[in-house]
Amino acid sequence: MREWNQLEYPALLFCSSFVGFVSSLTRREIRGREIIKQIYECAVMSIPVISFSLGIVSLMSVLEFSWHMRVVLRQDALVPAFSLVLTIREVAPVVTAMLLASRVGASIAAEIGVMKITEQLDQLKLLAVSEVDYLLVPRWLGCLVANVALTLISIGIAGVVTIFIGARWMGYQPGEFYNSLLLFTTGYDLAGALVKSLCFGTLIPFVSAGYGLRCALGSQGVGEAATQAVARSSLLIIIIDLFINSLWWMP
Amino acid sequence: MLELKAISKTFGNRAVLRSVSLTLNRGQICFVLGRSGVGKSVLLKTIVGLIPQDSGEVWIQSEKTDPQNEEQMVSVRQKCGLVFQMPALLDSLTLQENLEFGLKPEKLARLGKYLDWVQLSRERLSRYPAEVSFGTQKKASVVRTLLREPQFILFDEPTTGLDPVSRQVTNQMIRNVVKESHSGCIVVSHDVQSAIELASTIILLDQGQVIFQGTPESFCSSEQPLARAFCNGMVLLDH
Ligand SMILES: Nc1ncnc2c1ncn2[C@@H]1O[C@H](COP(=O)(O)OP(=O)(O)OP(=O)(O)O)[C@@H](O)[C@H]1O
Ligand SMILES: [Mg+2]
Repeated sequence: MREWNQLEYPALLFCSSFVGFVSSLTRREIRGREIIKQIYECAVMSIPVISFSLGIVSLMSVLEFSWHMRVVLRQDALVPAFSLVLTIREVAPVVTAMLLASRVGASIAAEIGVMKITEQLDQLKLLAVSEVDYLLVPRWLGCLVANVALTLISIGIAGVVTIFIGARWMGYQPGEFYNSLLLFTTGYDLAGALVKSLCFGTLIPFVSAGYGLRCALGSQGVGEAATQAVARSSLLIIIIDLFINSLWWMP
Repeated sequence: MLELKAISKTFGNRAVLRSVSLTLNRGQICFVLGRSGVGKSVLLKTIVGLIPQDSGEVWIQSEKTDPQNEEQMVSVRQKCGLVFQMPALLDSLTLQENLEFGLKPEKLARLGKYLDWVQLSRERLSRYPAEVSFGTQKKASVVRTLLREPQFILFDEPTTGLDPVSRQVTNQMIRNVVKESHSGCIVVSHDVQSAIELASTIILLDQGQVIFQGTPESFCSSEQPLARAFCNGMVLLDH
């Protein structure tokens, strides 16, 4: 049989999961409990670290922008709004996905890898339970919902941090900030961020599961699979981000 | 009837199985003996299609199996259950959930009987695999296969790692399986004593080949050096 490469294999897993999910919808056999468990593990457990990171990143970006603008233009009135646009379009979807990849991607690859080397995957075959239904679909849906929710939360947190810094250190009223924000940001930007988060939320579980399912036997194989899952997911996130940017916002 | 015809399997350049054949009827017990690493586990996995053979045929109830045909393998695996050497319970589920996993609810009716057969207490079932001993996990994995009531059961070293009492219990369980369900069993084991007590046929593998096949009596009186070594519990130093 032909060997699938590192890009084709996740794509293949995605296609079979998509078909599996649709057919389980039509059969009304959704593994609801498993899916909710995955959403909880991906989303709820990641909220603290992602909120903290995004808060810090948006604080840094406001202060940094402001410093540059003051040097060049001697005023920084538009900085909070600029900074928030950057956060919505770029920082929130990409940083969230990267953090999710390092937390959830590694754990998916390691968990499936351990299941492989302890023959649990073979056991699933013996029990006639499809690994797509049992492993992939819940992790995909969990990661997808988690990534979209976390991206929205990130944007919210970035907004709050930006308003706070604007009011506390730069002397702008929240109302002024709101007006300048409306000037620069549109629903189109938010939609772009959502498209990104949907793509990344799909990419992470399948790339990671791909490494887990094909991990070499032995604990070293599992370690390698987890590392590769994070490294490859992060790289693909950056590449796909560039790709979506060029389609979505470039003239 | 379960029939293997000249099964061969090579990993890389290492021939693990070389033209292994055997026949097993329902109600019979076939013990497969051999030194570690000779390919006993690989043999069982080829029967249920987890490792596809390079050449040779597997026939189950007059039907030739094709490991590439996943649909057919599903029905093959219903007819032919495998208990792994390692317990391979799903570690995110409790023992009870493991037993029920993918099982038709009506089949659970006999759970109590099978738990008695392996002497596994019901209280343990609410625990996760990591919270119970290896022996308990192994018993649970046996029960998981028994619940599916396959026509043939392949046991991969069911008594390895168990205390002598559990070993007797396991042997009695295999007798029960054959007597009550009239299943055929292939038991891979290092336990020659059990083989002599239980087996209808003993097969001895060496270097990927069947070097002895016969009844327990003929096994004990065999001139074959490895068979004699197994019977005497001696180590063959020149091997
Ligand atoms: N998936 C695999 N890939 C490569 N080699 C394998 C694979 N599975 C088994 N082998 C090799 O096949 C040989 C036989 O392995 P097997 O597990 O069948 O031995 P065994 O007879 O069951 O030994 P034991 O009594 O220790 O369980 C070993 O040398 C092993 O390295
Ligand atoms: Mg073995």
